[in-house]
Parts: sequence; C-alpha cells; structure tokens
Amino acid sequence: MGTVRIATVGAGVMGLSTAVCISKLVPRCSITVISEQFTPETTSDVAAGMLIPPVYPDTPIHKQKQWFKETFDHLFAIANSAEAEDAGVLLVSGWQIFRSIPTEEVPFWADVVLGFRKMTEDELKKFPQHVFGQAFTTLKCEGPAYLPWLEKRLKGSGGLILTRRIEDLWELHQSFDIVVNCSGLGSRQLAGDLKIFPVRGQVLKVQAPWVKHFIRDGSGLTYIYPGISNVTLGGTRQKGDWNLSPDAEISKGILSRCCALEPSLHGACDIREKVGLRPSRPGVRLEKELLAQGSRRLPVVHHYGHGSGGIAMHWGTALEAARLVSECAQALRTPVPKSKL
Amino acid sequence: MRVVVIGAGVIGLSTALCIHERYHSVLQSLDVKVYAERFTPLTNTDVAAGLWQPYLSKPSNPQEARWNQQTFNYLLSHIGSPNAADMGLAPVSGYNLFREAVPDPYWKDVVLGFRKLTPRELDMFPDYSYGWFNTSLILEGRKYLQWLTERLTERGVKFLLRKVESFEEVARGDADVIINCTGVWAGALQPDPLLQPGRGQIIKVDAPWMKHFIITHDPERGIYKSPYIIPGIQAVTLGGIFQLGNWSETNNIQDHNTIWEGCCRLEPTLKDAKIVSECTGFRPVRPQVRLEREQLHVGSSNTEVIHNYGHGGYGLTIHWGCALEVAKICGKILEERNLLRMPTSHL
Repeated sequence: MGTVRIATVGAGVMGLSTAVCISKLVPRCSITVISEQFTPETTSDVAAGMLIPPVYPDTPIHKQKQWFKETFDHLFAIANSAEAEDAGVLLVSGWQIFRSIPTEEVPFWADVVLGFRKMTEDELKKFPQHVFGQAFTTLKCEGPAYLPWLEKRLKGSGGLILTRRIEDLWELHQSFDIVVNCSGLGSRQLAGDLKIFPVRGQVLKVQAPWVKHFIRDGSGLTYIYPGISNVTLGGTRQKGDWNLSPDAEISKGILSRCCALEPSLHGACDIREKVGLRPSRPGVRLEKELLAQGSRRLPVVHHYGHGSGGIAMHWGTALEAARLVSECAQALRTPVPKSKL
Repeated sequence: MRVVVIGAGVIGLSTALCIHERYHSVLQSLDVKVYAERFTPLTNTDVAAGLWQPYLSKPSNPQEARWNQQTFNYLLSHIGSPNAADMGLAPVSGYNLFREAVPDPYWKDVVLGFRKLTPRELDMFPDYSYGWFNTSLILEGRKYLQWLTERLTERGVKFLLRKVESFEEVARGDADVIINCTGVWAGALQPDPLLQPGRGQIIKVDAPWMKHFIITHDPERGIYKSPYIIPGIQAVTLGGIFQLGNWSETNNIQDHNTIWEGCCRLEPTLKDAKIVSECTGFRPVRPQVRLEREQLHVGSSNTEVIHNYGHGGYGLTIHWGCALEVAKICGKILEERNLLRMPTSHL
C-alpha cells in the first residue's frame, strides 16, 4: 500500500489537532479533515479555553495528568514564542475559590500549572463568601485564533479540508483507508454511542480590559476568564439540554453572579451571549474499532467525549489518537500472511 | 481658609482632594484652588505606567515606607467597588527578574501573595536566574487624574491654568496655605540642588494578551534602566530609560531602540505588537521626598507653604500617604490659628 488515505471527521479542536499530529507521526499519508462546521461555528469556539482540567470518572488519573501535561507543555511553548498572538495562547494568573474547604485541597494538576499555592488570608479578603482558595498561573487557548492556526499548519503539510455533513462513517469507505472520528456529540449518530450527551454551557463575552486575572468558583458554575480581546463570563452546566439559543434570564444570572465576585464588571460593555454543548462522557473515548460490513472493513480511531476538558486535554489525547492511527496504518501496510493449509 | 495647590499631577490633585475631604465640613469656609501650568494629559503623571511598586531598597526616610503602605491599602480598599476601573485602578500580577539572588524587598508583605519564582517560571526568562511573583495594583495616571479632577470639580474646587512665578505672588493674592506640588519643576519656585529630572521614555503598544507585568533589574545599571513591561487598562507600557539630568522633552530614537530591543528580547510575543504612542516624562528625583512646612513672610502676614515634591519614580506608589501627611500638617496649622469649628476632644 502506498499512501494511506486518512479522513478526520470533525473540525473542532480535536479534529484539527489530531490531523496535525497525524501529519507529523505517520509517514506517507494523506489527511483530509471533513466537517459540517468550521471555526468560528464549532463548540471549541465558544469555550473559554482555560487550562483547568475537569476529572473524568472513567479515566485513570495518571492518564489524565499525562494528557494535561502534554497539552500544557505544548501550549506553554507557543505562549512564549512569537506565535502566541496568532495562535491565541496566553498566560493568565488568578484564583480558584471555594465556599467550603474542598476534599482535595491540592488537585492532580497542581504541579503542571505554574506557581500553584494556597491563597493567603489577605488574598481571600477580596472574596468574603469564600473560605479557601488556590492561586496559580495557567494558560488560555482561544478557539477563534487557535483553530485557524491549526488549519494553517495542516494545510502547510499538505492536508486538505472539506465541508460536508457525514451521516454514516461508511460513506468514507471508498475514498479513505482509515477514519478518525472527532465528531463530538455527532458520535451519538455516527458511532451509535449513547454514553455521550450534551452539557449545555451559556457564556457571555464582554469588554472589560481592566480584568487581568481569572476567578473561578470551585463549583465550576461561576467563572471570569480574561482573554486577548474579551472576558468570558460563565456559566451553566445543563445536562441533556440541546438548546443552542441563548436564554436572557440565564444571561442576567451569569452577569449577576460574576459581578458579585468582581464588582468592577458592572462597567463591562458590548455583552455577547454564546452557547456551546459540551460533548460529555464518563471518560474520553480514545480507541480503535474495526468496522465490518459483509466483506468490507473500515478501521476507525475514535477520539471524542472530552466534556468540559477539551482544550485542556486536546494535545495529549491527539498524540495518543495519532499513535493509534499509526498502528492502523502499520497494520494496513503489513501484508497479511496467507494461512498455511 | 484659602488653600492654593500648585501643580495638577497626581501629587497636586490627590493632596487637594485629601484636604477637602478632611476639612470642608469642619471649617467655617474652605476654599481650595489648583493652579497649574500643565493639566492632564500633559503632566508627568500621564506618562507613568502606574504600577504600584516602591524601589527595592529601604528609603532613607522611613516615613516613605509607611506612606507607600498607606497608599496601597487605600487603593486596595477601592478594589471591590464598581468604580475601580473609572479610577484607572485594577489588580495586576507579575514578575520581578534578577540575574542573581537578592534579599526580599521591604514591601513584600504589603503586596499580595509575594513568593519566589519557581524554576519553570524562570525558564520563560533565559537571561534571568532569580525572581519574585506577586499581585500588586495598576493605577493608570491619566485615568486617575481624570477621576480626581471629577471628584474635585464636584466639590467646587476651582482649577486655574496659570504659570506661578513665585510663592509671594500667590500669597499676596489668594492664599493662607500654599501646597507646593510642582514636582520636577519645583526648582523654579525655590532652588533645590537635591532635585533633578530622571528622564524616562516609554512606548505604549497594543498587546492585549499580556496580562502580567515583567520588570527586570540590573543592579549595575540602576533602577528603571533595565527593560520593563507593564500592562495598563488598554495598552501595554514598555520602558527601561532613566537619565539623570536630561531635560530633553522629545522622544529619542536611540532610547526607542533600547526599549524596543530590550522588551522584545524579554518577551518575544511583542515583536508584532502595534505601537500606539510614545512619550517622554521627567521623574522628580530627590534623595527623599520633600514634605515639610515652611513659613513665608509676605508683607505683614505669614503664609504657610507645605512642600510636597520629589517623589521620583514612585509618585503614584506613595501619593496618598503623602496627601494624608500634608492634611495632617494643615490640621496643625488650623489648630494654631484656632480655625477648627469642633475641637477634636469633643468627638
């Protein structure tokens, strides 16, 4: 087999980063990213992109830590380079605060972020409703800049991009040898996976350039994330809610909760509402599957289900997905020994 | 009582406000005027990046340490008010970088969360091997002066564009107490060999991804002579120039290059940042702040002059503590003249 033809379904952060990783790892392959939506219409474009990872109950902690560290290191290098502005990656310091002492005072990712420590009494005075806090410096990776930056990298190495809605992975069987499924919530249909469900997130993107720190309530429900050209205020976590239209009452609630943490936000202006559906799953699905239909075979690598940790984990899981694709490619290239009868 | 404040930079305006806040309700009549030749945006305060940070070494006058702390705490008390951004005030965190280990600064417990930098943080700055991280405050000169001007105007304080040639002329016309906040130009009213300009030049750029201040130190070259990057509310200030005795008010191309190369080397992400403006200012450098009372004999009466100038590169950092001290001196003057409506012992 000469060139292995690889199709990646989905052009959010997973689809694009996996395609880039594959282009670096797998020799003699062609890569085509096929998607219905592209930036700035993907879920990755709505996400604030803060590197503060969630916990996946079904994934071993050491794996999560590895993925997070690989992503952090990858983005940290970009943040300190001349590419930072183009790629939409920046360093932000701030505080995660709790209304009651958390069971885990030091999370698994404490030594991956920079300068992690407990907040001092003086620092906590700023948040009278909160009794405990963590101060650290982490990264923010913004979809609307990062996705085009990945696309540019992909095209630079010969990758192709196609706009098309795929209803069934078998559609790709004729033209491609391996399919990488990064379709997020689309996997309910494309992979028949009922374990994946939306967790609706509504956010406000506002102008408040004086806010230089992130503030996150440990519950994950209220957060203030300053970015390059706006500040993201959030949020909601509505399980099973597929509604993509912003809700005005919810927006009022978000603004009110955020102003309670940071009163200067009363002066925020140019408020825009956005909704994203987190592709949630008890664990990330990162595995090979050989689809079979009669005599037809289609190797698929699944890479989806990151919930609220997409940006935070993307590079680590993309590297692993690329390794799985490489294994598939190897298998295709290795002639099958004829059985000795 | 008639008070005339000469100077409309941060020192003049904050002192005027402090005096008015403290005494307007306890005096029969209090008239405060501000005379200045330059108002915002043409003052030295407007050029300052506005980061609260004293010099590293202990001041020769220990009161200055106390005034710095009072200023920080005063500003911090405004964080949490919806008006903070109108004042030009916001918390900001960042890095102080050194080429070798140094002792902690005397103000380490004034700022928030002071700690040493970890090895991974230092990896970001290959030219430096030691440093600090802390949370401090930005008080943007221009915004703060606008805010002070609004507060003073609300209180009926009058502003006059006027070049004052002598204390006597002010004493004769209008004032019982003169507050001398003329900054680097104080020598024109009364020679002061200890006062010198510390010329600074800064470049303001559009770099909204920069959320931290980065200040480098080179003990051999001295304060402010090493690159620094300080994010403001809208733009980021790049600097690293300090020239004692240089009165040139125009931007200098060599200084521009020094700043640009130094800051881009420190922070490669700046290379494509768009330049918004460039300006020059004069830090009013003095071995210590001149904050003291002097009596002038003008004709048959005594006019009090309270000097409040010479705050070097830490005017915004120390301003409120000094304003409080001047207000205290005013209080003494009022007591001496039996002008206070309510003696303090009755409260």
